[in-house]
Amino acid sequence: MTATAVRTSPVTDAETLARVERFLYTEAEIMDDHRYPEWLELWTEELEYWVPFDLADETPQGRVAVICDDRPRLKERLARFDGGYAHAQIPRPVLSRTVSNVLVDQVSDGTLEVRSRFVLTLLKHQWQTVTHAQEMVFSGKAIHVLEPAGDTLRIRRKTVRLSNVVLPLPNIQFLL
Amino acid sequence: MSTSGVFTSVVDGRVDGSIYTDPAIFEEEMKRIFHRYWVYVGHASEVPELGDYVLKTIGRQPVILTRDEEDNVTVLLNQCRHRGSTVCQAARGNSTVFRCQYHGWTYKNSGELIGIPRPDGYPADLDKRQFGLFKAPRIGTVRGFVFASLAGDGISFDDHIAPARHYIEAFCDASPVGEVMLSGGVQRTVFNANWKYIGGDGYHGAFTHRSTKELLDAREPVTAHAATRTSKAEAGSTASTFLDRKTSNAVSLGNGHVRLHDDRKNEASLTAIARDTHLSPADAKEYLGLMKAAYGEDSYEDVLAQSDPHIEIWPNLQLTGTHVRTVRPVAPNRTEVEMAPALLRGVPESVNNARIRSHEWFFGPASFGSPDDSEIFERIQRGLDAKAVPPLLLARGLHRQEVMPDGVILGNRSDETTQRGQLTQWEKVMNEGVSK
Repeated sequence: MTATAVRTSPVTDAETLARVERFLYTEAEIMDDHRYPEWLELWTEELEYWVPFDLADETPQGRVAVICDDRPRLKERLARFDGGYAHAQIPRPVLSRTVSNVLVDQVSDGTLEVRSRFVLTLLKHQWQTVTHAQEMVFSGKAIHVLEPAGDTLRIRRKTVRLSNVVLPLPNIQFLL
Repeated sequence: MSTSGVFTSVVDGRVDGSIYTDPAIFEEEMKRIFHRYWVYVGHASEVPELGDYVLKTIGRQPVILTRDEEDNVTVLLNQCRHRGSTVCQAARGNSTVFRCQYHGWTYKNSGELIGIPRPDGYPADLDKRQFGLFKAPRIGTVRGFVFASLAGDGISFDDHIAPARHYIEAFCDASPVGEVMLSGGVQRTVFNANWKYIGGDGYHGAFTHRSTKELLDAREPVTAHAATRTSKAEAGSTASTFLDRKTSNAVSLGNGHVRLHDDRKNEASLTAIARDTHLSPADAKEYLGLMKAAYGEDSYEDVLAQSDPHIEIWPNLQLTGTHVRTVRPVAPNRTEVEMAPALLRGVPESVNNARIRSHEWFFGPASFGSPDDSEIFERIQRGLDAKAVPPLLLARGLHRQEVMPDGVILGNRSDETTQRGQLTQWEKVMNEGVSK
């Protein structure tokens, strides 16, 4: 998760790019649909999921984050969402995100580093009134480190540079 | 507010919902509390070097917390004395001067006006000393926690803070050198509800935070490391919420300062510390060794046991678990809350890292605890659109709380002694009048 300098080279072959894009779109759909057990299956056994609170942070060490999960913490996050008592997520917000600007680099050890942008709209609709509905837009940059796993890919590390951190954040009770 | 212009809060254990919803009352809170009374501004560790500054807000007013060239921490209004533009835009930084970019008026970081371009437009005897950046007339500090009053008169800082001072010090004494640092960043959050719902409720854990209790219950006992000290209490097993008076209290200390007291002395063992702050066994051992060396074999466990004061310092500062929380009312139905992990001076980096990761478990917009508080506050704000009579009940424990000889009021942990303490102070200060 630290900002180690890795040698990378751009990936341009159509087959790899299509595979990566398909992976990102699938992940986006799973996150939008709140399918938490399926999302967990996209990760490698050892994992790092980091959403810094300060866009200038290069490491979570010594800095408070929005999210800084290892596997046990991530599993608790998902168990809580599906446990029925995460009030801040009731009713579940309606999410729709677009993923684009996908750039893929081959990292020297054979894994892929993928940079992409997302725009996510959220509708929170408790009490079914326009007055109290909350419509929000979240956007930012995602950096996935993906490892090959059989004929698919797995997420070893994911960093999300969420644009919204420059302002006070409302509850983030969904997946980024 | 009644037609007589008198503000009332808790009457016969009931409170009118309008104090949480009425825009006119909110305006008066800004004038009478935030722009006049003692409020927490920031921590000296946010401006560690000469010339450091950080932008803050007092009520609605933009201020700059600075450390000037003489090493004084000062609170300046961020407003040029010429035509009113802000003179500092960056959220934090280091500078010897602040310059207004409208006409170039320039001020030292202590506030003195030092430069007026083309001063021939003013009389030769213009006294620059009359045109420095406006300074908060009164400042008070406890262990680096900086408070300010924008009024020249009123209760002294020492009198205001007296009932809380010991607990601020106890919080800092989690460090072997007695100092905390807010250098680990801050989680800035916002919710759509009134600021006065926050804090001091020892009754809500078992329901509001049931999801965290389920996570803790699901853990293998041997790996149960990640809970923060606060999360244990706030996760609120029914047992901890409804403990009897002997081991746990809701306390009204006076001047609106309130706290939840849990007797932790028996928990101040290596195992408990490791579990509570997510420390590895090696880090826990080193940390406890440092604490033992600093406070002595006989005292260090007491010091540790008291280092989570769970105190709400009226009106806008809370020291809970391992973090410092600042409350900033924006509107009757909108509140910003800053949550910063308190790092300890004099401990290994890994200990502070563990405190940060443990903080993130319960506190912050994507955490497992505080978002449910925010959600409940928003539900109250919506609920108060219903105008029921008689008004809300705030009577829990009224029949069993005790007033001590020094005026401190003790209730059971789940009693609303704390909220009544805060609102009693609110009523007192709201009726004291406005600043000139």
